[in-house]
Amino acid sequence: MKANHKIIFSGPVGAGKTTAITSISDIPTVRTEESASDETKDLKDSTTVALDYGAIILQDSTRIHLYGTPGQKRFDFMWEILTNGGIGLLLLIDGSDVKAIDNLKFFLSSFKNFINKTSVVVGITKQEINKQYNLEDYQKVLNEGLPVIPIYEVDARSKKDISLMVETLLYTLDPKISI
Amino acid sequence: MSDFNNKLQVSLNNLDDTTKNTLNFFFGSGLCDKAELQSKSNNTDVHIIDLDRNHDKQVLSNLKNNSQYAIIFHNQSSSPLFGENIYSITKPVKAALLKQQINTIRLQLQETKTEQTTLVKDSNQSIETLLQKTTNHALYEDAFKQAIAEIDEKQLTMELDQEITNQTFNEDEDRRLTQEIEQEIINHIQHDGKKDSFGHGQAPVEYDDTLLKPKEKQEDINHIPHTHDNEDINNQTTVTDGNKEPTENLKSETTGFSLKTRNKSSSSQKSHLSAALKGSVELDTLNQYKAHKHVGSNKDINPNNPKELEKVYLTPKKYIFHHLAKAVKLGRSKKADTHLKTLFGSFLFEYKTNLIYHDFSSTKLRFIKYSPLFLEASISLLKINTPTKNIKPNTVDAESLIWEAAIIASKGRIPRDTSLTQVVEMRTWPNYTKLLVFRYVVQITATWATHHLSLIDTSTQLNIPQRYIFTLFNAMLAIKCAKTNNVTKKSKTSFTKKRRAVFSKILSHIFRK
Ligand SMILES: Nc1nc2c(ncn2[C@@H]2O[C@H](COP(=O)(O)OP(=O)(O)OP(=O)(O)O)[C@@H](O)[C@H]2O)c(=O)[nH]1
Ligand SMILES: [Mg+2]
Repeated sequence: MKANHKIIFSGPVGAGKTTAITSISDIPTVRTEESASDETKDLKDSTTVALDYGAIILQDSTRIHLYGTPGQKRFDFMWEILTNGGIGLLLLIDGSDVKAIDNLKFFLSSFKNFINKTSVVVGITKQEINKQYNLEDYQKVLNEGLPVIPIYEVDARSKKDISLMVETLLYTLDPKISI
Repeated sequence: MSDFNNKLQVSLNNLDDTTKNTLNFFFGSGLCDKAELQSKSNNTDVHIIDLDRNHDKQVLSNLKNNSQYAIIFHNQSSSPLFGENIYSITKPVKAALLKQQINTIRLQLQETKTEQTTLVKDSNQSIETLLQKTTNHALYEDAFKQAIAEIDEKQLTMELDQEITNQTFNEDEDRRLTQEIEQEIINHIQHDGKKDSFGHGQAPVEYDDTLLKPKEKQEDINHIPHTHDNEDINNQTTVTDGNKEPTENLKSETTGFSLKTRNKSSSSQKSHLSAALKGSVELDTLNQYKAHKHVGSNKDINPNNPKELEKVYLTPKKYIFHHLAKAVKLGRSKKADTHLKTLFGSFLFEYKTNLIYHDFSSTKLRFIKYSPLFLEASISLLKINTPTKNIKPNTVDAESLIWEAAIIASKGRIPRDTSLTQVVEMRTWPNYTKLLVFRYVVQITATWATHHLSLIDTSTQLNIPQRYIFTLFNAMLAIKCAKTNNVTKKSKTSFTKKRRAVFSKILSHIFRK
């Protein structure tokens, strides 16, 4: 059976999921955005309603699928299906949002099963615009002991930052990968 | 050395033709009858040097040894230089000033002769003296003194670091390290101003924007097996290896001749953080894979052999990273700004912004980071909001500075008495998007984040040389992300191999891009 490799990007509205996938995708990303309505309207003009799709294409043509979940909570029924068989989770949190800490808690608990089976890396975006909390504040939310969840301040537009998140995800899943 | 009654012997060091002709006329026409020009530079009393041009290494070395004098011509934009044996003149050079300086040097030489002392370098000369003589230290300190004078009265307490002064150290190690530093300084001073590994000077090595790898060497990096012999991935670049830290561009800044235009910081207080962070990130990008040089060249040791063990130990209290960390810790616990005073100068930690202010050039800061000389450091608590309001020093994120200083000091060593067999207990992930990283950093961190392994076992399990593990641990310890601990509950040390092949391909892919 041909393995289906996918990395899941999640996080609240406007955290930078679509942007992050675009930063590292080898193919033009497929976006299913539409004009924002209801709960999202005040936040941004367009939002992802179904999912984002991008891919890393390896030298041997293997595709690593990159899926972005819709940020709006009304779509959370999709998360379970989407994560099934996934490599792990890259969780982006908009650090300029006063609700950032609550959002982190919400997403960690929503994806608890998936994270326990795999691994998660947290990226706090927009820290340079309007930082609401320090990294220590986010770290306090996490459980003590192993595994220690990686949290970085990232810019979703930076390929380097998102690649670092991917690198971290893979090494936390298997520290003995050799390249 | 010329006799006092004779003329002062002057040589011109790599000046442009116009200046040379002018000075030939100046010294040859009787305009300055107390000195004469020599074509050879080795035996003269005074060198005339144009700071905006390259210099003769021997001359600079002699200057450092204080065996000769120099008159330095420099641009308005470059900082004037200080040093017992250095005089400087802003261009365009005024003949009267030049004449005056020649006379002063002549008088000084006369005094020296009378006292029967030599200015030749004393072999026991301490590194502090050396640095003080070869830097424009005074200049750096001025701004701080001024600021500190203002804030002194508001000072709450002075907590002298008693334990530091009481500490006794292994003298052999002291001597060895001091020699090492001296050699570093000589290397820096003798550097010929060519492209350096930091991207100062001319075209920096091209780095990819993705992850950690210099583009030109990506193939090597991607395919280097994790063996001890193969780790010098940059051996075709301009970087020097092992203990020889990369040298920096003399033209922009050296120990002896800081030409760096002072930070004309028009930046408001508000922009300090982003500027500091941006700066450190840019530096990181350039240094990413060069930085593996910081791990030094120690061979793996057998932890059961005390002699070998001794080689990987360092005494944190001798290094700036330890004192910076203490100053930051004190500031945070008291919710106040702190002032760290060292023999090199001052650092101010601003509690609210988490920034450290200093006024050192990057070269000097680098010396400070790896100089084992901080026994005299003192930390004081300041009750002040903006200690830097009247000065425009450099700012850097506190954690980034401590982290980098800990790496540079470590070079593959860990604090004395660190257990190599107790497991590493990791508390938080370092924020690697803002910190200096080097090879294997993410891999080692991921190991500690998911498994309880000792330092030695980490090296064995990952097949990574101990010096990488030790350097990273020293830095993580300094910023309190990890420590060793006798954790009873050991995690399973089996590693899942599920999808290892495809993970490996993904990593190669993102490194290659
Ligand atoms: N300044 C700054 N802008 C960022 C950062 N990360 C993302 N952005 C911007 O934030 C905006 C929102 O990003 P998106 O990628 O659309 O966010 P999303 O998570 O896909 O949002 P939804 O699809 O609505 O859930 C974009 O304009 C990005 O360029 C960051 O770290 N700094
Ligand atoms: Mg989106």
